[in-house]
Amino acid sequence: MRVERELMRGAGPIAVLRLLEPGEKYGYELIQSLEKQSDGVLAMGQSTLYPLLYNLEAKGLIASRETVAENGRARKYYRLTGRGKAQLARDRKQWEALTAAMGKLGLAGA
Amino acid sequence: MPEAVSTSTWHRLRHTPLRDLLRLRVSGRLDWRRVIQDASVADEIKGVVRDVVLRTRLWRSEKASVARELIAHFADAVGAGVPVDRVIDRFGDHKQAARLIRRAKIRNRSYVWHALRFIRRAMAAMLLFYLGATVYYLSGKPTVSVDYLAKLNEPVLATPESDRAWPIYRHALAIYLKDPMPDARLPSEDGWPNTVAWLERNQLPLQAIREAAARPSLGVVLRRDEDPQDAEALGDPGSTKVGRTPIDESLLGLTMPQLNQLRAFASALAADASRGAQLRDAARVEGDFQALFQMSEQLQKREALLEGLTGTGTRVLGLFVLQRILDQQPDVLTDDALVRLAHRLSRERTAADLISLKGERYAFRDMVQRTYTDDGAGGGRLTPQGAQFLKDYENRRRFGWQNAMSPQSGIGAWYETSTDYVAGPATMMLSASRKDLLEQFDAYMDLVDTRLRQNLRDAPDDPEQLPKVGHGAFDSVRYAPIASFNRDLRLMQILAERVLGVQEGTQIAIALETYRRKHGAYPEELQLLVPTYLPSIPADRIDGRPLRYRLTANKPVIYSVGVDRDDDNGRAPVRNGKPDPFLAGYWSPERMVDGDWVRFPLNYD
Repeated sequence: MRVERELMRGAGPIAVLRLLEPGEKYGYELIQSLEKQSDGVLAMGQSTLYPLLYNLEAKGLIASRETVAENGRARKYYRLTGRGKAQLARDRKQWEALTAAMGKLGLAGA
Repeated sequence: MPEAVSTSTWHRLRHTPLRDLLRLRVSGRLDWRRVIQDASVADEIKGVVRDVVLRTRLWRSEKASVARELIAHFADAVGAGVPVDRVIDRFGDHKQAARLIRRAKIRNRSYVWHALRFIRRAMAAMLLFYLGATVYYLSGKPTVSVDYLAKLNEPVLATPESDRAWPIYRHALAIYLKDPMPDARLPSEDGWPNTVAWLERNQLPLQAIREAAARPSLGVVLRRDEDPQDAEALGDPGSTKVGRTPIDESLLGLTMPQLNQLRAFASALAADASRGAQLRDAARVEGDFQALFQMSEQLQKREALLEGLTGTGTRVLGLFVLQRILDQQPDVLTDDALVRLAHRLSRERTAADLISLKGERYAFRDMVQRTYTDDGAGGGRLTPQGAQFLKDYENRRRFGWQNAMSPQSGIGAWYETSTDYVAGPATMMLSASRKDLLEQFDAYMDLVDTRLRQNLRDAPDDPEQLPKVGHGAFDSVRYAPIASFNRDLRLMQILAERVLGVQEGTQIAIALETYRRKHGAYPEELQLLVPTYLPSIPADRIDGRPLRYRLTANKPVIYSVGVDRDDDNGRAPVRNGKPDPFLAGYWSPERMVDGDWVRFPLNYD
């Protein structure tokens, strides 16, 4: 199911922060995780993901490092920063509150 | 088709960051095209990456970073078994991707870069704004819609010819100029015998001057160019003004050559009065004084400030000579003559009775209509012609009316013009609007008019400081035309007060003489003159109490306590080795002069 762009604009960054919470990931890995763990609802192309990552990096919520992968190719890994963790915690609360409110309206499943 | 990328050392050198060069490493890391070319991915993928990276228009280092990341992503996808066309298809729109990547990467740049970008944009915006202001400024043109010269001449043109004095003065002028008066003005001066001979030869023009002075109106029609009849009287073929400027066309450029001639007539009358006193010719003496004061009144009725000031000068000349005669030859004047002169000298009380500011208001409005646009509702803005006008006017005020001209040609003219056009829009934006300027000027002049009707001692705390428009640097620029126009009206009020002081001293001197003739001696105190010889004792212009009086060697001395407000018993301060009767009457918080302001007798040497 395709999600409206405006809704995606709010959900996308939080989803990426959440995916980075367990540990660092690289770009393709993030795209795969987003698609798989959200059953395709939060799937996004490279043209969306990389600008999103650069924005999060500009805000100091994530940091990157370049390394050489086992296949010999250069690869950039992204990880959550302390600020990113704090932001994720705040966003998590907001989404929980939002989901609860939508549930009471009959718009979110129990 | 893959793009061919140079492999030369120079190319790699150009694409190596400074940091690497300093470490003696020619890494070529900034060569994003090489990054793409050297990648182990399909050509179609390289094409996508190249297209997106190119569209980002980022710095080379950022492009190289984005290229590496996108290549890695595509390689990971292909490595995971996703077909190339599907990977490309799932990439998304190239333009949008490039735009979003660019925006995000720019956000990531340093604070310094963002600050510099803000400054660049701000400067560009300011430049654009200033260019717009320049166009707006250059499009402004003043409109001369009111003939203020005609307004100044309205009272004269409404006066019957038979009441106008100037035609007779002009006749006297023609005779006078053929035989100018020698320099000596008083019997005590060297060369007085030559003056006496001249006076005897010129009784005809002097009589014409007395007749002219008796007319109610001066009757001069002010003109921008020379009156042909005056030119004929002067024996002048007529001057042609070459290169008339906008200032010459305005009231500010108005010349009044008749004032010089009237001053010369006044000097002749004053000298004739002294000669008449020597001959004990009472009628002649009184006739000359009446003419002097009538001439002064003719000038004081006029609306141009310069004419009023000339009238004031004529008055003080007459008072000076009259006091001298009252002091040294009091018996010359008849009793009736004394009464008539006393009556003539009783009218003026304040500076407003001596000078008029109506002409100044006209002159300023004329200046504004020649320097500002007119939007028809009272508003308007400064024009390029206006800025030039004000600059020329200021130069003339500082360096002399005839001398100060802007360079008309050559590099000087080019420089002046170009700097004027560059600075002009800023001047226009900083200057007050036409409406605001006129309102401020009117408020200022209303205040000055009120002050001129007061005695200086009744003015606010600082008697010398008439209201100054434009306090502070910003207002000085904003209301620069008013500051430039400023006639130093406070000094004119001080001058007027001094003249009125001398006049009051003369009135009392006349009353004392009349008393002496009746009683055989001067009174012990001034109060004895009231009301028979003087309606009241004039107040001291400094402290408001009655003027002081004492007898010294049986001669009266009338005085004010002076600006130090200390009664020195009529002792005038000394300047250049001589008593100066006026010095202590000069209002100035900085100069506390020790001594009294003597109103009678003055120092005649």
